[in-house]
Amino acid sequence: MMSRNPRRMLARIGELQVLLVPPALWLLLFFLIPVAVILAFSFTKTNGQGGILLDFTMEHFKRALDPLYLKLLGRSAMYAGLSTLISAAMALPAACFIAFSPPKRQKLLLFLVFLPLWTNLLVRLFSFVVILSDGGLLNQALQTFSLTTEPLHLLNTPFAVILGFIYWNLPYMIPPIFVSLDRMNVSLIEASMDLGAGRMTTFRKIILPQAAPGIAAGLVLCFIPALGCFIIPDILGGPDTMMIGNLITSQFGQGRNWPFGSALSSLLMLLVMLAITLYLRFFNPATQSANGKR
Amino acid sequence: MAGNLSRSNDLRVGQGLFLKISTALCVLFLLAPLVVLIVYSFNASRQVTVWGGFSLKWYVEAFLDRDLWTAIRNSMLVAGISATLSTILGTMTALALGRYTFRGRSLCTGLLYVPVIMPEIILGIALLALFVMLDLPRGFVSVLCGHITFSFPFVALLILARVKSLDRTMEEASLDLGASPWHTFCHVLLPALAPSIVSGLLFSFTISLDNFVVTFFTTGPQLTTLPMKVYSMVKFGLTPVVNVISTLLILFTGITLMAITWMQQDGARRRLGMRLGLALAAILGISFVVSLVSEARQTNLVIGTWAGYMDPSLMDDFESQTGIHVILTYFNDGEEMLAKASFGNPGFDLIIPAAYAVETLRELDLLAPFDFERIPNIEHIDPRFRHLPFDPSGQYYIPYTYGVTGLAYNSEKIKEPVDSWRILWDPRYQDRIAMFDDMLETFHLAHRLLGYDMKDADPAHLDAAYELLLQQKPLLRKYESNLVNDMLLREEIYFGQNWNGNALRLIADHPQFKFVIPKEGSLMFADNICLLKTAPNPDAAHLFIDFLLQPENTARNIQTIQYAMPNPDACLLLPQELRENMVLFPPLGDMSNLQILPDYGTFLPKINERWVRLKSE
Repeated sequence: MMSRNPRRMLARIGELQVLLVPPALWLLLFFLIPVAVILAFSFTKTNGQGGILLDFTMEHFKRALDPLYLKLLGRSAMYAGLSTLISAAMALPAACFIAFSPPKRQKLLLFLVFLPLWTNLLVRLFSFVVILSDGGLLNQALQTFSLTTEPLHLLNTPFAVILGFIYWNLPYMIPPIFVSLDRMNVSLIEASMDLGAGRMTTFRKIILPQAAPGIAAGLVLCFIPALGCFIIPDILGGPDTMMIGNLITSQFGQGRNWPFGSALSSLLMLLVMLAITLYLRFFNPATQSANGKR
Repeated sequence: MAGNLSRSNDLRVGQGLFLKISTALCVLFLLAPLVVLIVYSFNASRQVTVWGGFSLKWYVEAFLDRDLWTAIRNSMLVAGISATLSTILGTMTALALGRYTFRGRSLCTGLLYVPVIMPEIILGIALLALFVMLDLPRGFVSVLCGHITFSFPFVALLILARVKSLDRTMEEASLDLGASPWHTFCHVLLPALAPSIVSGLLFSFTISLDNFVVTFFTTGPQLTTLPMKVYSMVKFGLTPVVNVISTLLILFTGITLMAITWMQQDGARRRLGMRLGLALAAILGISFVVSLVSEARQTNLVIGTWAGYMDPSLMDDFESQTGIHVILTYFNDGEEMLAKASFGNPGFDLIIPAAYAVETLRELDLLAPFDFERIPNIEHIDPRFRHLPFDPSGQYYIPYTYGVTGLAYNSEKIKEPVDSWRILWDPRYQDRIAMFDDMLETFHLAHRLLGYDMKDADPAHLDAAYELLLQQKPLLRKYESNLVNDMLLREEIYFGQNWNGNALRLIADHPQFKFVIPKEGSLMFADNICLLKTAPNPDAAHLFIDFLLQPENTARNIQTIQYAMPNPDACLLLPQELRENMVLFPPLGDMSNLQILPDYGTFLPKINERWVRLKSE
């Protein structure tokens, strides 16, 4: 730990202020205050014209607890959770490989991982339609190799939505894991292997703890946006794949019920904050590995 | 440095076969859609998801579209600057939260997650309200503020992961050996954080590049970004042009990366590359400022509309006749436009709302009446359209386009006569039917089939309509509004609700498809041009409308956008096959069988509740 003399303590407080104040002010001015105002709408009545009456009410929160909407929430959590876990499982080996690659290959691979993000999501989803449709590339390939005779119904199903989410998530999952593994001390792994630990043990005891903060960041960066996403179920989904994001967006659109939309978003954010707080309190791999003995 | 020492990877750790294969699969999965996307930019067909032969025509179209290049330039500038600032803010946040212990640290960390989960539309509306309250001009700076707000928490979380897994011994060694904290920061900490900072920079660049909602709400008329244009194209005329743009962006990224790699090989190249890069950035920056200034000094007319909903060559002609420069800005949803307009006009003169929105805008007292003395060409407008129910006085709107929702079907697959909506409930066609993904269109149709009028706002009728739609749901392939033509062409569906203008584009190339307005009647839309009360330039607006209504100009406009306009004199100037095209100009009769979507007011949330229930059952 750092030396504890008072001058350094003072200097560190100064540093902290310089570092923390600008982002905190920014967040306060451009985010917390305006958003709090909009979220306060969730306690107001609507006038049915998309406008607001300044009367206090809890009706929107009561309505939000309707089993119908809870079901949507459950479905969203399921799609988002499943796709996030699969992305993490896919991303971990890839991130390892990239982290331990020679610099040149590393750059190329990272470039390829980021490449999809340079393209409008909508346009990328249309490509998925081309791949997954009845006469699409995947079905053609399956039929060419005589794996199937009839075209499989892939598009407009929950499968297509989850696949879309995995695709959307991967470029956000690989970099955080890569970042926490990169510049890791390879000699640790060598030592572990030399001392007779098997591959699995080495992975579990050495690599996984090092990657943990990255995996955690990746899970959050993927799960949360997927929870509120509406474009992917819109384009790849079918008649039964509506998610909570579609519901919220429609309240600010055709449903013209801003207060209800605000109430739904507030509840969603509350849930997420709760989950994250619990997570930070009870299971925080980051602090464990940062303070861990090397 | 420790990093370099430990990098001597002699045992080839982490390069095993399993890792190789899984990485290859990941990369393949990520790139396959991009390959498809690039191939489809050479598509001869207008559909974005159905192949119709090789062609370069969309490249030509993209290169000729000046608006598009302005939008790309704007997007690049916004993304570049906001990414740089977000990365700085994000790094500071990550350092503060990751390296210091202080009261409220967990709370601050938790707060970072809030912008990540916040639905964009709330952030967009909230920022709009803020800028209106502070009376800040909307444009480049306000968009930047919006983008930084949603992207720096992302960057901070990403870098935080790195800060937490950092080995502190090097820093302590550096400080113990007498290096100043600043020196230690520059030479020990920063290099150790570099990969995460670069990742953060790339992240924030890309999320800014693809943002639509926040940009839409925070921008002013002078700044249209690429996603605003692309998302707006979805409504009228999504074409492989979007694939062309994406292909060019991918190409640009590749070239930039190669240039950087080339630069890094030796010092002379690096200096040359840096100079070239700086020169390029300077040229771009100066040209941007110059164009902004010149745009600001011109007499401008600003029109809010959908992309592809007005012939751009008309704007050029108008400018050469009058010297007034027309700026089109885009929205992709009528409700977003209403929300934006009701929060204070960012500089629009004219907007093109749907019929029901005219009603709402009037109720909000946002519209100014037109002075028809100054629009003599109004006489060419079909009198049936002059006093529509949403504004019987006829003073607050100019009819622009109209169309009808009908039934498009594949006549090769369906041999029986199609004249009733009821065929969409026929179990023989299970999985071959699509309905609009639009609660008003679907519920209006169900009401109509039951002999009710949704305008009565009767909950019992709504329940009956809901039951009817629920019966139909197992037969549906999808609720879809924008890709109906593609689904028909791929033969995934045989029937789909469709607008006549959309159907026209399909039938022009594929005559096996037919379009009918079923005997039960249907919904009609009528889009209108309205003048905002706060329009900066009402004189130019009047001049422009008079110009637009000249029969020759309207005829040209109809031919380009392929939507009917209620201007009989213009129709006479159209080529015969277009004039007599029953899809473009569906027989309206006395319009008694057609309803223009009204503003359902307080009934809307009830319809929405049923719609959500229908879609989640």
